[in-house]
Amino acid sequence: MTKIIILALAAIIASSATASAANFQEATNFVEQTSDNAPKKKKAAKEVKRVVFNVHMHCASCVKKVQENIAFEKGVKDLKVSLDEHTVDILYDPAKTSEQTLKAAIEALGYHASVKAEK
Amino acid sequence: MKRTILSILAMVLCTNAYVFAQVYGNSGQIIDTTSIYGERQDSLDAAVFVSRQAGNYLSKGKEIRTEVISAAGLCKMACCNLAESFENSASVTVGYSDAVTGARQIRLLGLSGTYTQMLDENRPVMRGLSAPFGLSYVPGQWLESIQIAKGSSSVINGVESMTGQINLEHRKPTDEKPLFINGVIMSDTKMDLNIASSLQMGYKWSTVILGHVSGNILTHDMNKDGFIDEPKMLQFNLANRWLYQGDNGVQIRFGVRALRDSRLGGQSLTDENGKKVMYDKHTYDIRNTTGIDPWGSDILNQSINGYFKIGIPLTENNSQNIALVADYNFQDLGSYFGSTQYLASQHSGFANLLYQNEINESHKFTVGLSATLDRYIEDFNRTVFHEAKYENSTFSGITNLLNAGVFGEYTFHAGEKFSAIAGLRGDWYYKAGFRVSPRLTLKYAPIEEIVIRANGGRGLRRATPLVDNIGVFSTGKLFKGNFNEHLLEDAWTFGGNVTYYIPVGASSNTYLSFDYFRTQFAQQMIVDYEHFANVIDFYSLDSKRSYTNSYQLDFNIEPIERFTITATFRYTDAKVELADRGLVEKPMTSRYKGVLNLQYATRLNKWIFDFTASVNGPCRVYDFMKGMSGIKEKNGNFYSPVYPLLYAQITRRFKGWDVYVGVENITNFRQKDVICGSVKDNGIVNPRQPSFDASCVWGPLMGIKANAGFRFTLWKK
Repeated sequence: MTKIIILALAAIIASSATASAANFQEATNFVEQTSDNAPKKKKAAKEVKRVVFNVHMHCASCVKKVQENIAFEKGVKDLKVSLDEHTVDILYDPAKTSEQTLKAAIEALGYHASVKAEK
Repeated sequence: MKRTILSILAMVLCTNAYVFAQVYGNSGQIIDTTSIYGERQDSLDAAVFVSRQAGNYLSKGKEIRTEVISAAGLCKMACCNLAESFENSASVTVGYSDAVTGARQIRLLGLSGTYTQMLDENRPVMRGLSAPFGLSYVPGQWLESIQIAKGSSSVINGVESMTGQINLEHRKPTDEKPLFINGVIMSDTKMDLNIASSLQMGYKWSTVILGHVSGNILTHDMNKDGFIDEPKMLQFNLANRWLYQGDNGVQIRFGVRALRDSRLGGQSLTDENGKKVMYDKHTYDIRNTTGIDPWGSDILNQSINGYFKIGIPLTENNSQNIALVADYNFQDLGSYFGSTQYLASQHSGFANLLYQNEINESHKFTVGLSATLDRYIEDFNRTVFHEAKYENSTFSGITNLLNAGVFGEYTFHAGEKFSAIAGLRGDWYYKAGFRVSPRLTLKYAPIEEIVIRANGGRGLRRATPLVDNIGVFSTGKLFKGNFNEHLLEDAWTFGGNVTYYIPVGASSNTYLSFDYFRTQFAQQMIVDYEHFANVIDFYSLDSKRSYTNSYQLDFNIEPIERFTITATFRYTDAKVELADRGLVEKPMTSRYKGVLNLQYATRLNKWIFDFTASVNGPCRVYDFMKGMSGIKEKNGNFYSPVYPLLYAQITRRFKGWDVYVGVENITNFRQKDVICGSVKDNGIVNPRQPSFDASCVWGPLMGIKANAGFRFTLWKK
């Protein structure tokens, strides 16, 4: 019995670690792709865009509301919401959605959204 | 079967989608409970951080060692009610009070949950008659978070907390969720349905309506001991909470709650026509030793609660304010256990008037007055067969318990490095006189990565011996001693905690934490199963010793993004000096518990995988349990076995929808013998004998169970 439990635990940790490593690699690619100076190494890089919106969120509930809704918008690949910076950082597939569509989706939740200017 | 389930779990964990959602900030959700002026400040000024999905974690900012079970933590398992919400926690151990009623009890710092103060947004709840089933009356999906504070906490809400406080934060009226529905069905036919609706009427008024129905269709007797494993249950629970936020800073909160819960448990016998027969409180006769007359318990709990809170700022910047908290609770407990009848009702009133002054960033004080009144109306009648004759004991009447007092709490902050909270209460207890309760909490962070905490102080509470130990009714034993006396229990708890935040991992929430707490009783109600054979003896500790030392180690890390590992281990050394027996290991108290929780979420949280494994250490069981399945002797004492518990859950999330499936107690470990008794008829324990005891529960009563559920959230547009 103990052996079974240990084996199961090991399997779960190993499989999750493998899966996470794969995702982590993809996340790294995301950083590379979205950097202005980063060379476009992979074909997939052309299919991903990033947009940062200034969104006036004032509490944790607002953050959750944005997170829970925008995460499931068509074409959204990655999402980071910052209460401190009042930003919603989205990685999306331009073939499936657009800045305007995403802006409209945020505004439909009752928040004003504007594209944050690149520094 | 087990191998198959484990293999499937492992395989499922290998399949991942590639989406991810993260909200910057600290892990989990910290809700700053200021207690004096509303429980939560939904603003940037409040200590509110949101993270992806931390479940259980230690709060870094709190002065007292506080474990938080966040909304995400409450979704890790089916968490049908509050008791099940603690499965991931080593701090809190959950068990059954007996094998009949389905009543759950918790243990914090190795002591019964009666020594832990339960708070509902800083109002004391689950007191007296509400306590034994209270954990089943808080639906997990009504909650937003739970905070478990260990040790001697604030004096503001009274000093009934001896081992700590557990504060429940409900879904808020200000949540922009006009509709939330949760439904879950378990493989044993237990079903839960929860509905919540938060509505805002303008920016001043908001309300939340919370509804709950649960019950089971079928009952089972998996271990074939003649007693059903869980009672037939049906619960209705409805609450409505309001919030008013005025332009001038005035806040008013009020709400009501109504509850009705019925449960029928015990023997399930087959009559001559092949029909299943269960306990009938009207016809049961302990003297009927020949016919089909099953023993059982029939319990009806009904309660109504109402509360009102108001906070008024006295200065423009709210540095000075006053607040009033008032609470009324009516609890009616109609309970029958074989030939025992305990009919009781309790009216409880609580009022707390506070004045808070934040002089500057370093100095703040709170002073106030408070009073608590409990009025018990009891009718007790019990007949047992003892020493070859039938013994009857009765009492009935009205008992008023009142305490009123003044308190003050001073808080000093030296920047982020050091803070101290010194509290003092002076309370007058009806028929017990005046008592002073000091409490002190210190927090020191020499460097950003290390937090050291220490606290100590006195706790006082009135015992309600029978309902505090509801399991005693599920026995054939004679009650002796002062079981109808509301003794004022008195304990001192001291302890500390060191947390080291390690700068590794994918988040800033990697930590290693150690804590130690000791609770020493000056007065306690002892419920002694071992003083005389087939007798439960209730007596005061007086000058004898009773103490508990509790050690705990916590480790939390997110080694890679979205994969969290939480490991905790708790060791308890609990001793009590029993009459004619001397200092012994406290019975039915597990020595240790270890919990490992693994959680992995794919990007954007579309898939969430949870796995929890716990190992539960042995506890000293009563001598009369020798020979029962799994019980082993060591150095003249008898111990329960070490056993594992495994849980797994997979959640798939869609826009507005979550669906989940889970498996509980994967190893199918159960306490096989849960009904004690030396006389058996056809292999089934005879409940009419004095040695009958269904309260000796040390392990899980239910085997492997699967569940499937959904959550639907409609967001306000």
